[in-house]
Amino acid sequence: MKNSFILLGRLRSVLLALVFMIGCSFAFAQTKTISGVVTGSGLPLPGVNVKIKGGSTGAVTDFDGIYKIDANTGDVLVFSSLGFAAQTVTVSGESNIDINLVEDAEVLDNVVVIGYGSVAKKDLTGSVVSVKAEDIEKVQAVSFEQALVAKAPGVRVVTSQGGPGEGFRVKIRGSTSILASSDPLYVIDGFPIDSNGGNNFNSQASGDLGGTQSSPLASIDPSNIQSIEVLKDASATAIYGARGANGVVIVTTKSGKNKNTSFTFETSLGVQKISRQLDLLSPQEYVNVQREANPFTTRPELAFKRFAIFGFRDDKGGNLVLGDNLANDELRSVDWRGLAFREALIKKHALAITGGNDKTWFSARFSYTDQDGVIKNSDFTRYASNFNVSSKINDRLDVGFVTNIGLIKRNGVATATSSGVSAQRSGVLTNLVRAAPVQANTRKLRELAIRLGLDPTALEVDEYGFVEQSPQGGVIRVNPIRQITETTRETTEINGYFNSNIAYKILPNLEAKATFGGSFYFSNGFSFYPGSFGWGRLTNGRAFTSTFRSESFLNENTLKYNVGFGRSKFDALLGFTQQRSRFVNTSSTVTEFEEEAVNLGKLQTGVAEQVNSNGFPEQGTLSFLNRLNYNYDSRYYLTFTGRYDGSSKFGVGDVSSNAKWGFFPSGAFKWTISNENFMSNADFINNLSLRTSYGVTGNQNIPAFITQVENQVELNRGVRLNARIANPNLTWETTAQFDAGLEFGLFNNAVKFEADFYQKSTTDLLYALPVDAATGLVSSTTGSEENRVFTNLGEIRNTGVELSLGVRIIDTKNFKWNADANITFSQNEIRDLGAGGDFIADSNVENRIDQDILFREGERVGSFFGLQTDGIYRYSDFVEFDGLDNVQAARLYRSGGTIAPVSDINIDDTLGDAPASGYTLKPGVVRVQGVQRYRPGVKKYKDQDGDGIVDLDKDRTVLGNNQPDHFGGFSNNFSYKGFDFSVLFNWSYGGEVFNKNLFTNTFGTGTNLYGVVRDRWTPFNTNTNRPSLNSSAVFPLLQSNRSPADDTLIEDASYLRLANISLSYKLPSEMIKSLGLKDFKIFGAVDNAYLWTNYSGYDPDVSVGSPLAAGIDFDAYPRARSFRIGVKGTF
Amino acid sequence: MKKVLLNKIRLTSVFGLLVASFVGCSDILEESPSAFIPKIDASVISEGLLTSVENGLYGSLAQENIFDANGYPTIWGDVGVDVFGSPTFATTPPAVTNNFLPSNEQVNDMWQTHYKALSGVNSAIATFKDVEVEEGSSLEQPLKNLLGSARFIKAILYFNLVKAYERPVIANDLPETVDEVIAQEKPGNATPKEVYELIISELQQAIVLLDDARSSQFATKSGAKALLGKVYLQIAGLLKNNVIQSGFEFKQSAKDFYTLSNKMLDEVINSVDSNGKEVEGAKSYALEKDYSDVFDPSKEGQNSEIIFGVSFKSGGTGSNYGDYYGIIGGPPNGGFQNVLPLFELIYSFYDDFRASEVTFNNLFDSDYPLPVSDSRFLVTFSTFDVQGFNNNPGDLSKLNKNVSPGSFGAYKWIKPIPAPEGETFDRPFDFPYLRYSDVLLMNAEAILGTEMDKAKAVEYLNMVRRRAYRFDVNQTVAADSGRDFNPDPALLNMQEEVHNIGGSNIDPEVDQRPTIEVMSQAKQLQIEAGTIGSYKVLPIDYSAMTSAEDLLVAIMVERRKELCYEGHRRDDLIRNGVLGEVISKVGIAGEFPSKWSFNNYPSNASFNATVNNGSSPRPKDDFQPHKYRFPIPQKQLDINENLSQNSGY
Repeated sequence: MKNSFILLGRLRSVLLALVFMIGCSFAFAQTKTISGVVTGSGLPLPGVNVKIKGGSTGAVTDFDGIYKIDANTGDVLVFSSLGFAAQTVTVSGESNIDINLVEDAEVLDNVVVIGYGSVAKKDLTGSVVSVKAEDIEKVQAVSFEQALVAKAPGVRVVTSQGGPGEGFRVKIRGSTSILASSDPLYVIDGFPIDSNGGNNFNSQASGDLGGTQSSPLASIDPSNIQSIEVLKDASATAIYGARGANGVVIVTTKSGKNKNTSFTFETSLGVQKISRQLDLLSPQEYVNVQREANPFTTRPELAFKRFAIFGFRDDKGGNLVLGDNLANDELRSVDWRGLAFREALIKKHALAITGGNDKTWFSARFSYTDQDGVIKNSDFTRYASNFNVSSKINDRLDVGFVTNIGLIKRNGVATATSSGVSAQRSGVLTNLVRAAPVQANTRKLRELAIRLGLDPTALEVDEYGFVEQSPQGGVIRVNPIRQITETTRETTEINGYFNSNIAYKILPNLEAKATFGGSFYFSNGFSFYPGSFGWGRLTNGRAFTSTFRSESFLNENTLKYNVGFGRSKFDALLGFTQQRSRFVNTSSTVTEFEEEAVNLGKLQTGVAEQVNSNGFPEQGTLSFLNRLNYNYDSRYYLTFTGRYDGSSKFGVGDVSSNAKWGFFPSGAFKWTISNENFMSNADFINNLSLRTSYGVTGNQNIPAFITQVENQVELNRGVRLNARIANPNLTWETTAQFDAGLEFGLFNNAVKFEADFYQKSTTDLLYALPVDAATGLVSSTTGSEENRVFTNLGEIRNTGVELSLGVRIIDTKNFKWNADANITFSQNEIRDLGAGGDFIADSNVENRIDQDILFREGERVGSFFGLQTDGIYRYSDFVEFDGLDNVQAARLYRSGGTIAPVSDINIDDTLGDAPASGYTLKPGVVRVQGVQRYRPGVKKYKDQDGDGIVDLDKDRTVLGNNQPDHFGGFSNNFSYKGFDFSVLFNWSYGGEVFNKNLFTNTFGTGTNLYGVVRDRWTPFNTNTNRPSLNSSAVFPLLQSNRSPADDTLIEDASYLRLANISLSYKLPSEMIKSLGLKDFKIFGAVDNAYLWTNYSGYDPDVSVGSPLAAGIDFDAYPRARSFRIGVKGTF
Repeated sequence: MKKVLLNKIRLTSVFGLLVASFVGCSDILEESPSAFIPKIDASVISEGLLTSVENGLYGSLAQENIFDANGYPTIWGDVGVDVFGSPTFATTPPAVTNNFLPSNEQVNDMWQTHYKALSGVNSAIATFKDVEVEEGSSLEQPLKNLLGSARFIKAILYFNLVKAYERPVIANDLPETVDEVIAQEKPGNATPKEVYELIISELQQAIVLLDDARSSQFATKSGAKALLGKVYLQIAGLLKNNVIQSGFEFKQSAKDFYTLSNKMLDEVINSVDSNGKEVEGAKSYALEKDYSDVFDPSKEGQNSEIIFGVSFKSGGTGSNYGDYYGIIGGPPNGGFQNVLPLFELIYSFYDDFRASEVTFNNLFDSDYPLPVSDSRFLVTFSTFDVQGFNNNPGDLSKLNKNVSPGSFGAYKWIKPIPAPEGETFDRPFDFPYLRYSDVLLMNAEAILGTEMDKAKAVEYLNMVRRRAYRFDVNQTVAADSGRDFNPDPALLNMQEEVHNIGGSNIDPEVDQRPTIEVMSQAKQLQIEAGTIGSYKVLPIDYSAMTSAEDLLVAIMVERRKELCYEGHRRDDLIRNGVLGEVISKVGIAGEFPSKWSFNNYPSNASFNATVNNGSSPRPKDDFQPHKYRFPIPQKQLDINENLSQNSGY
């Protein structure tokens, strides 16, 4: 210990000597003292740096904006302060120089936060996109994704559903992984958010319906954000080493300014409406479909089967009239969607106090957001607070403390469920489609029940006239309105980050900094399905509760040193960090409630079915990091970054290696051509740079404990030895990334252009290799048990080009017009999956279609997988229909083959379009493996290998993928005096959506269906490719009642969205002053104003179900269009 | 200046210490899981650990695709032969039509789960086989029990595998690390002979290790002997009927194996050792007086007939038999009645088959009594369902008695209900794997094979039949006559009473769903309806039967009824080389079933088996001789280049 102090002492002497040597050259000049007041926007400005250009002397203005500095005549003084345009003044004899600095967004723009520091944009060597507060303010963003969408090339924001506060996924430069997460690392005010193998932030109890994704960013109010930096290339992300492979999103919240204390309030109010409606059958069409499926008959043996439909007919089979007069046997229609959807309010109030002096400054912010969903009874409430205080204790010591705490509450309805049409378990959007728009005549139904010897009181009808159960028994139907109003689904999340830092300047150019921080996340979910209807009815009520808690502790220590030799400048960073996180999850399921009215408040009145915890996984990382920047004359830049990372998740390795540790280096070079002498004549070029980088980063997003032997313990099943065996060599997934970029700015930066090419190659994927079942080794990789072992293998490559252009088209004093556009072209390919070959996974929504996601060498990550269709089977494919006219064919078809085509039986005395026996296919007509019955009007599949039989092994192909060919955004900003008007578009071109709703809602009888079934195949409408109503009943299914995906469910995902229109008006300053304010603004915004797409669902920007594949739509909450107005003022 | 420097040093060192206090926690990279046991140190074993590991082994049998309703007994044993007809069972159709494709998920899942269970068994043997404990220590017997159970369970798993796949893999000892797994040579197919020899060796070791002190939920010495007798019998039959074409050349003959089987089963029946001496503490088994008692949930683990049952314990690992097989509306959420008996199976229980008198489309009250005096009939089938009952607890009038035989549920496996706190698919239940009547019938078959005196064989067969027709098991019944069934007047009164239940005995406040009592009362109601009347009962006693061939047929027919739904049928038919013959006659209009499944119909009866089976697929549809065994799953062939497909697939 003593020795090290001596060493430190010596080091210090050497460094001090060095500094003195540099300082010596100025020691001989003659000096005089100059003083003055610096103001900004007319107010004294403390904390302004005053420096002599080219020298080391400097001063800082005090609280009253006064400075004093010793300078020579001819010296140039540089006045600079963050957020203001720097000004220079040449000293010419006077001793008092007052300066008024002008606020400059450009300057603020030019500081970019990078890992463990910040740099001037011009000195940046890596590929980093920076979104600043004013960009966020322009769209008046309510959510983080709104703030980021379409702003950053290479960054794709995929929304999960359209409900308030729903989660989203950010993909930076494509998907790099299969089983580890491809989500970026989020760093909030210096705090990296550890994820538990991608399973974080889900408050759903296991077994509950539907999926709600949350996000660590949902608890942060976008108006508290100072900047969002997206680190894309390896040079930028390598400082985050093992967690940088998927890019890094750094969120910096607002801090105080050394200004007088000011108080800002903001309030806004808006209304949201569902932006599109789906085309469903009209009430009359619905009744027609039911009548077609179950024609009136006088044959007694069919009468029983026709029970449900009798409610639509009079005693002789005649039609009943649609209307409200029930006594007159009219049929009442109900507009379920009209009852379910609403015009929903969105309110936001925010307060902020900022202030401080030249020693200490602070910012405290609080905001309240209350967003109702367009579906009744769903809402999202957020209380977000942010506190930030920094203090300059003395010249050497800076301390700071920042905390962000958010509380989120959600109420909602089950959407995006895994279940398709199990009526009790369907999500509400599916039930809204399927709910019969016309209610059967219950008086007739009861009469018929008696006639058929059934108990008429068993007919259950609720107050909407909705038939929940027929006297025949069978499925209990769920009234979507009761589902919405009577089901409880509530989640509370609390998310907090704390970070304190202490920075000490050992030398003026050597700074040591230590941060200590913590984060916690807590969520609590409650749902209750009452015993009076639907799912809960099966078990006398059903309740779920779950809590998820995570906590994380962080310590980071860095040492920064910068030095210059002539035109060379060095900038070095050394650091050590450690982080440990813990995840705790408990949930329980309770059924069989004693009394329905007493439920979530007293779970012990029911029977506990299941209590779960996930074993309290803990994980830790230890890292050593360093970065060296070298800059020669602002012409040549070199950056070397390296991080040596250790993770608890990996194995101890064998004798020679320790798999826990990995080294992640990167290097970057930038040549700013515009600073070369030979360019000095090209005045119109402000910046022209070429840059390139290469580096390696890692990914460790897998669950904990995966390298350890597991002797599994289960209740009532004892211990299972070696359920998993040791995996000591499991190590990091590594991504090597090459990036080449060009940027230029022309005409005083009126035109700015940036282009990047990248190629990311991920190897040693954390992937599960199939092994011989005889090993008995099983891992559940995608929810189902498979014989796989986790290991490092395979390769994925992402390649892309990103272009962005910003133009100040008109830039006059009163009128400004800026336009910005960016576009990203990206490709993604699985290059190698090792000996295991294809990996097929389930999308986990509407699980009657499964095994529908494919990972295959040569294909993109997460492709949709299934059979191609080839129209439908037609009369001409069957032996029995040869030579029949239309009426004869129809009679044969509708009798299921039991009535001779030439019989004199009326066509209505047949089975209608009910499932019945099949007919004989002619030789040569394609058949499906394992399917015995074929009928006209049923989907026909393409036999890819030409062996005459469609089977799943050989005939399934890639049907699509959500990844677009290109995507991007463009915006226009106009400002005229106090008015500011901006319009933002974003688009995505190419790529597909897997619309599973089409499977659920276009077949079957007894429920309402999508409007597309108007063109269905019927015995009299044969010239169509739309399958018949009942074809699902004879659909070729996989084993276990499941069906393969097919291309009729795949739709083009391209869209162009007018994402945001904003208009704001800033009151003239005299008026503001007369109101006693510093600033006042009125604004209005429209979100999701218009969508151009061919997609038939609500919105093609959707992704529910398994995280393995983006772009699956099923029962997803529709996205709203919102109109908001608000005011913002500062005292 | 100096002071400043000192201050600086002081500050720096405080700072350094602050940092240092956080460094050096190298355990930050440690993992300490609490959700599982990372390592077992066999040198510090405890009784608790041994019990837990042993429970784990038994639990591995009570699993999906092994012995659950979706496992070996159903998919391999009873579906697609002459037991089940038109199942609506979500996952059975390929099995029903014998349409086993190498890509079939069930074919793969069954393979996969058996090896998963085997890896646990192998790990247990590897971990504990060399552990030494002091003689007389309290750990001695638990350790023996654990190792004996492991070998017994290993034998069961390989027995399933070799019967279903014929050339399964013999799994090598488990490698210790994932890298070793990836690097190791994958094992190829074993010959059936190698697998049978492994099974025999494991059971011989189990017989030595185990005693008879424990209940039928555990492996016992007698249980291991009974299973070994079964294994010998299977080998003998396969050899005799030349079922397996290659890899099955033993130096012993078929007759030798029949003899081995007979000896082993004799030891179980007589509670003796291999020298014929009585074994101290040996369990003696007997037929329960009443067939329905064998399946009485209250007697699980302690009835005199079950030798070994696979025990499903509710609480996450319970049974799904009641849900899948159980009668419609039975268990809350369950009672899917996914497997339905074939018409021929139902008819085969009739005393005298009179198709013209029974409307099989729908049975109504007036059709009762049914002409059946075999007491197994109403244990095997439910002639009613309880739809509508769940919403009207306690109201027996909601029981639907007018059920078509096409919808007769499997009453035998109704017993997992009700599970008071059990969820669907999670009910406590012991699946009978080995039971005494099976041992008696197997021994009868073995005796026929040894060509010894047939008297013992006939006696064993008669014992089973007498019990079925409610005679004293040891009572001699006249060989040449049946008997008139004259109901006891008391029974008639009881029927009256049961008819009047109508809720009076049931407190709807208490019973939220049909309790086992309610179900039994309903059952009693049907039993009474089914047995009133006077019908000539078929010969109970087969003593007059002399032809060995006829006797074997009689044994097979008896096994089908006695062991119905217990998963033995396909193996019985294969062992005797008649699977193809039986299947070719099942469910075909106008065809009589094969004598191996139905030997008591009058020659003048007209038979329309398709009344029930209608449009649903029939076993025959896809049957070819190579389907005497499953294909090796395609998924496994894809992964393991050393595996080859069974011929014909």
